Amino acid sequence: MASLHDFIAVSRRRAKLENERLVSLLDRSTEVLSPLSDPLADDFGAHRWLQAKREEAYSDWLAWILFRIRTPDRILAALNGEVQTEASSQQPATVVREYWVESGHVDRTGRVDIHLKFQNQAVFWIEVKLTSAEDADMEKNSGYRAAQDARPELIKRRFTIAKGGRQKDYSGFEFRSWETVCRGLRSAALGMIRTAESERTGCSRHTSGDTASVNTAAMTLGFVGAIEQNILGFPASLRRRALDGTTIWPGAEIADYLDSWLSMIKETIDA
Amino acid sequence: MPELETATNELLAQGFHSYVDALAAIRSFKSEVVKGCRTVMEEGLLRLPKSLNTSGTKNGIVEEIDPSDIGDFGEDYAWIGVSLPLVPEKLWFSVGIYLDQTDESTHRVQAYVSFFTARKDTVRTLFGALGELRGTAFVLDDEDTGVCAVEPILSNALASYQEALRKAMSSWLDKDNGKALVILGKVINAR
Repeated sequence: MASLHDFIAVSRRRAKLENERLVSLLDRSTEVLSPLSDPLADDFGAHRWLQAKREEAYSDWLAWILFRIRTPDRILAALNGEVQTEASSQQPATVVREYWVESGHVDRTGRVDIHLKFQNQAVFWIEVKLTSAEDADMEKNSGYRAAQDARPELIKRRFTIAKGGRQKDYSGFEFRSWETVCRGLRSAALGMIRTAESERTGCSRHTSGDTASVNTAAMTLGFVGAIEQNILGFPASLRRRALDGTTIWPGAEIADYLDSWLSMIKETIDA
Repeated sequence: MPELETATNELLAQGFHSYVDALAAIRSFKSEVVKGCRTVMEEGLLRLPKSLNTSGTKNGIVEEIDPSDIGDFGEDYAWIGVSLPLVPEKLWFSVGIYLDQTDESTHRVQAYVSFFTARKDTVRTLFGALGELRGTAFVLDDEDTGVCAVEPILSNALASYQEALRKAMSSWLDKDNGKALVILGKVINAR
């Protein structure tokens, strides 16, 4: 029993030592996202609409954010957890929630969570899961894939976003973890803030109908915070807790997550 | 059985007191080891020869934990590591730590860097083809689905487990100028 107590004690001590790194990363992130702040500093579990695992609420919000991100390259960057590309002349997406398709489960029709269409050039379908991919219903994916394959668009992509997953692909749907997507959406929000700032100061190189605004960035970061706290299980009000000296057990994981995002956007920040 | 009753009461008292903390400590430990394994795998991934025709990238690395659920724990071992499909349906890359505790006094920790295939005959062919290279560095896994480079981690060097992983990786990458991987590529491409 003594060794178990030692294990717990040393683990707790280390978690507390991570608090300092965590605060530093949160402050850096807030500095980068100014005039907004890092969503992990807030408490999104307090929002009744999002605190429960209501897939529809999260899908609705994500669909709206992707609509605001507008173009296929930028949407792909968000889904891939990558830094946003600059605004381009690509056509904006048409977004439909619960899009009817003629095949899902065997011998049944289905409804894809998010349908994104870019004129007649490209179509992306996204299935939103709040559990791990292994715990979610993936059987209908084969039917969805067949339905999308029959479509006329040249570019067809399908994604499953879930908490975790052991495969790269689930019956033709590319797997993306919420961590990856949240990193991408954080970058998207940063891009919106930067664009809005450039437009405000008259330094923008791209004013071709880009609808980015700080308000949209705030809504995007709100979604990110809700996912990080309610789905990924990161504690709310993280900075305050860390400063209070609370043991934040997943502190090292969260710090690594923030660190990887900040490293990813380093070039954007430096620019 | 008053002794059993006393022991049960002590288990409950200690358990109720420490259960949540123990889970948290296990999660922290697991997460740290997975991170270390991932780093070593990413380093190795950069050095895999083109002849393997791999499509795996670091984004495809997933953690591999056994038992993954506390309810599945029934034997005196644990595995903490990461894996990556290198060739779809054909070849997987694995880096991890095997913790073996057959009784209270026997505690063994080993670093593994392995390649798994879908077919047992492929693995047996690979193992045979390694010939003298095998030495004591390579073993067949228990189910004959993988060939593993293994390095022990001494009890006074547990914190440097990554060095043991790198040493195991080196058996594949560097021994005899990476001959083991050349053989692996030939065996996989022939199937």
